[in-house]
Amino acid sequence: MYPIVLLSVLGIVVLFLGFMKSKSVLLPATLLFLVLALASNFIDWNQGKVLYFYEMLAVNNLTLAFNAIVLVSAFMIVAMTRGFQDQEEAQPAEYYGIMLFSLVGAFMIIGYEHLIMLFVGIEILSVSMYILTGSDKSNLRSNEAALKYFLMGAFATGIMLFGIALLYGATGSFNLTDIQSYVSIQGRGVSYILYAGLLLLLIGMLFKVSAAPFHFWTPDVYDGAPTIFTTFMSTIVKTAGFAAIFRLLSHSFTPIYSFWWITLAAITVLTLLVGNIIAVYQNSFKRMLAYSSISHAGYLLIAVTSLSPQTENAILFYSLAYSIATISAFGVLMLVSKKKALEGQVDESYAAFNGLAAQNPLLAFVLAVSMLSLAGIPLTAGFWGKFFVFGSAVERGLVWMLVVAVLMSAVGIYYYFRAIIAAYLKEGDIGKIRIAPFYRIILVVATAMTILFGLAPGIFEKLL
Amino acid sequence: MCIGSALFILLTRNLMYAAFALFVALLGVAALYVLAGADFLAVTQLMIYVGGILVLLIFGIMLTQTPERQEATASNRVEVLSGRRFWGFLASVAVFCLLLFTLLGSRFRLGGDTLTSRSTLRTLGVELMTSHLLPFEIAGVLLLVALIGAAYLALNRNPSA
Amino acid sequence: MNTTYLPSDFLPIVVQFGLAAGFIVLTMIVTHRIGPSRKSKMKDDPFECGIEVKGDARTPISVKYFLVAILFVLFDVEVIFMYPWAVNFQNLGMLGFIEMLVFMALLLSGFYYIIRKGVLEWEQ
Repeated sequence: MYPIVLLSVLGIVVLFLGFMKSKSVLLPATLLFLVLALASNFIDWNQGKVLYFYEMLAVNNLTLAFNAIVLVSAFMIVAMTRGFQDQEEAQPAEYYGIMLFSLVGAFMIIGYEHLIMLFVGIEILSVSMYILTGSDKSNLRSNEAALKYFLMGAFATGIMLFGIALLYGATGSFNLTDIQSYVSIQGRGVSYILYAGLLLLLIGMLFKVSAAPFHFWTPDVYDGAPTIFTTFMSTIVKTAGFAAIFRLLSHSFTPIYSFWWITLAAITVLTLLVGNIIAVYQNSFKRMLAYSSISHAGYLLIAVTSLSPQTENAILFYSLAYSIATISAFGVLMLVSKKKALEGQVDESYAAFNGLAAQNPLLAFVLAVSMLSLAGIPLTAGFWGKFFVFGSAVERGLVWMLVVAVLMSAVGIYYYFRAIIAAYLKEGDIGKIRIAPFYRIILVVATAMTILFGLAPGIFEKLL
Repeated sequence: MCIGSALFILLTRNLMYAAFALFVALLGVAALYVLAGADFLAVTQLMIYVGGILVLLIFGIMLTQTPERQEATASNRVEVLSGRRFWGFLASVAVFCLLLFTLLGSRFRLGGDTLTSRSTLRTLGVELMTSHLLPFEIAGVLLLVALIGAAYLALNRNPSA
Repeated sequence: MNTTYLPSDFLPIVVQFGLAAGFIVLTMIVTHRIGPSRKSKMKDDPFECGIEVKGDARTPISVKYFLVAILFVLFDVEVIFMYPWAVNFQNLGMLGFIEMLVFMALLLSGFYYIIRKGVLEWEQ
């Protein structure tokens, strides 16, 4: 709860810091604020489940852990935004302010106890994302992406709101606990309004995390948005969105598990198939990452669908592993494509990485580790993430889904390795890329975390 | 009135007429709110949609209107592949059936007694200030974000000055 | 204050709408019917102090109008939030006042931002 209040205020502070002459204070200030929020996040640690603000917001260790993941990802991403100050027209104060506000939205949908909180949180998160997507105003692709995202997102929000209204109509309450007690009392006899409402609400939320039949916006938007904000979108929105979906289903609707698991299972399989198979055909690295983020949504959905006691941990660990790996992959991409842009060509295809290892061993190594982690190769965090997810599916007995998932991760290995092969084996002419020291630290830390969690996943589990 | 003007929006080719038809449609929705016993919502509808958003829309049309008029006669039909049209149609029919089924399956409390409802305004105010305080304040943040975003995206001059 | 109401309480509004619309339609019909009507090229031209008509009535307008309209809608929403608060002002007392102040502070900081950014400066 504290980070919400803190970041709302600090976001405004950042905004006003932007009026000062020197822009150099902004980045350290924002980072400091994020650390403050992270510290305040842990005030509630180990208090059990606490409800705040007339049962609007629930706080327990799980939500705090999700908050922490979001904050750490945000910290890394913000730290990588060093380039903003160089550009003449960029307005870092706005970017940072909006990022902080969007984190408020993320915290809200992680810990909501009341469906209105969910709605307002998702709205804050998506409005911020629309703005950030369109922030590169001189770029036509960015504008197009923002418009597409906005229109589709507005529809999804409408559908979600309709679902919430129907749920209210069926149960007479917005409160998750009330809904849960209603559902468990009524059992299978709940009215159809509840089913329809749940379905519509799920559609709206699955849209936000880009699960398969609702994924059409993802590649275009991820491709068109400035890379740094693509990173932000694909990590933070996804983590928060899955926390929200998990919270909704595990908290309120466990009694009617037999109703929604089939729907969700179908969506999961579709997401896995679409994400992985289309990713194979991509030539642009950035688009590939967009499809890969769809497929990772699929893996996370497996965990949600299976809903076993392990699921919490699986989702948490998977989001963490995925976020870190994605951040470092995008980080490398940003550096390389910037270098290419300086040489006069905007290049975000695999070919951009050709011969990266020759002059920039560090970058190539970071890229390789993140790709391995995303593909789920042992000794990286991604492997254990997948392992936990599959474990929870086994516990529920969803073996057929597991078969699909394993096949699809085999497909995934192919396109992730294309990047590694390009970096290490192909000939290319990338000169030495200068990395800002801070940037280097972030990349190294992210890689180190990936390997550390890969070697000893137990560290993380003991923390919780 | 509502459905009629909504259909008109779909069918007309002149944007300006569509905007005016939207005006009628929104008024109709406000009237529906009144009939449903949601007086505050009706007032909100009038103030925000009719008063604000419609003006915004008309400004938008005036902003983007180009001198050449060929556009107005062009068909506003969306070109899609017939296969996609089939699936889209199927999906929409499915959703329609689902909602219809839901609607028929539900038991609305009909009758004269519910029509005499309390004015929602007072309760709403108390609720907003006590139990729904956090969403209320966060809605302020949401508006703030929208404000910044609008100013940032729509401002086209160089802000370095 | 009357705390219960019937939808029929809103009937006067409907009646007024009906009267206003009816008046317009009626006068238009009547003037078209009773007045003599001669149509010619000269007569159908819009009258603009005797000068030839130039351009189109629907010229593109500046984006500033649009921006102002957006800001208007946002602050309109804010006012809507204040409305139920104002009705209950007495009951809510000091706490309600502070709550509203926080809300206003959020919005006003946005307003301050807008001014500092120079969005509202018309010339330039």
